[in-house]
Amino acid sequence: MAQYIITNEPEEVDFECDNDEVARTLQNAKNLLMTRMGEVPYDRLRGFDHALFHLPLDKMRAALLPEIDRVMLWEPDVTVISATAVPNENGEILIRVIVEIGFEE
Amino acid sequence: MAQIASWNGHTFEVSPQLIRSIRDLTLKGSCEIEEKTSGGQQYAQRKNGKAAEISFTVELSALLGVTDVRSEALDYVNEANEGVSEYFYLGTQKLVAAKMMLTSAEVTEYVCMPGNADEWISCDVKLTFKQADNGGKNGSKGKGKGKKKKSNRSRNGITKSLGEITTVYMAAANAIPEAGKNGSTNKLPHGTAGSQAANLFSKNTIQLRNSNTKKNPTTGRGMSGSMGVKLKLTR
Repeated sequence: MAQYIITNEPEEVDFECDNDEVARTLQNAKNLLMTRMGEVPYDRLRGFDHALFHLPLDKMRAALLPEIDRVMLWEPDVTVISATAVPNENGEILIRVIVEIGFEE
Repeated sequence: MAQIASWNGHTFEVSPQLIRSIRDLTLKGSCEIEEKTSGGQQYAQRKNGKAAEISFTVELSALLGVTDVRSEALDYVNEANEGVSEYFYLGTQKLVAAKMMLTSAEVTEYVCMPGNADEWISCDVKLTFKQADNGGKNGSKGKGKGKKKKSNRSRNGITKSLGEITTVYMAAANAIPEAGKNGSTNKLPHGTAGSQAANLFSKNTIQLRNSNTKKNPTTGRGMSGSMGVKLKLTR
């Protein structure tokens, strides 16, 4: 199965996605990663828990994959393979997630 | 890093405050085979893969920081009884890509306080996990309704082998602007470009339908799916 990479870097939202379900599912997964937990008023558990950003880096890395698995419950077509967190030159944490997409039919 | 592994909220770690370590970690993968004979020579043929197994022993000790040894040990036993499934993380990665179901928890080497059997000092818990159903993503649906069919998709959309059908299909979609938007499964009416395509490629059927609605994991209610049309070929 093909694997794809999504990150928490901001990008333009493609509303059309050329009717490509794979691209749309990847974008759904990225949107979930970019959503902050508590931001959605009718679904307060949806999104990434930003409390992880306040943990020491080694503890954050230990807690990252379970949190990404929880976040991707909202996109069941996506299976999380691995997740890494790396600080960039500005001190921001860049999260990189490798996912597989499998459609249930 | 203090944490060695985790499963369903149970963390196995070695830190200045707590030592809850694991030992004898075993990961097993196997398959079911069928013995056949060909030309006077026996050979093995794979029938299907067996569930992956993980087993290890957890050492629980009040002397090493575990606050309630008895309740932690009984939690494992109850979870084994209920067949709880969760991902097993070793380090920062999943050891097996699928969820692991706790199938057995054996409590041994029980040590209690002198004169008070209710207060546990230490025990060992041997845990055995087996690969659980991943909700249809491991090749078959959980309820045994058949194998998952993977559509032949690519990032560029429909692949080349369906190029001609794509052209006619898009013309049909233009001819029926409401198709796929009303939430119901529609078949192309007779006389449209799409049905003509269906006649040309008589072995294939073309259906227009919405993407499946998915359930919100928090509320259990359906979430609005995408409103795009989906091409499905059946042969």
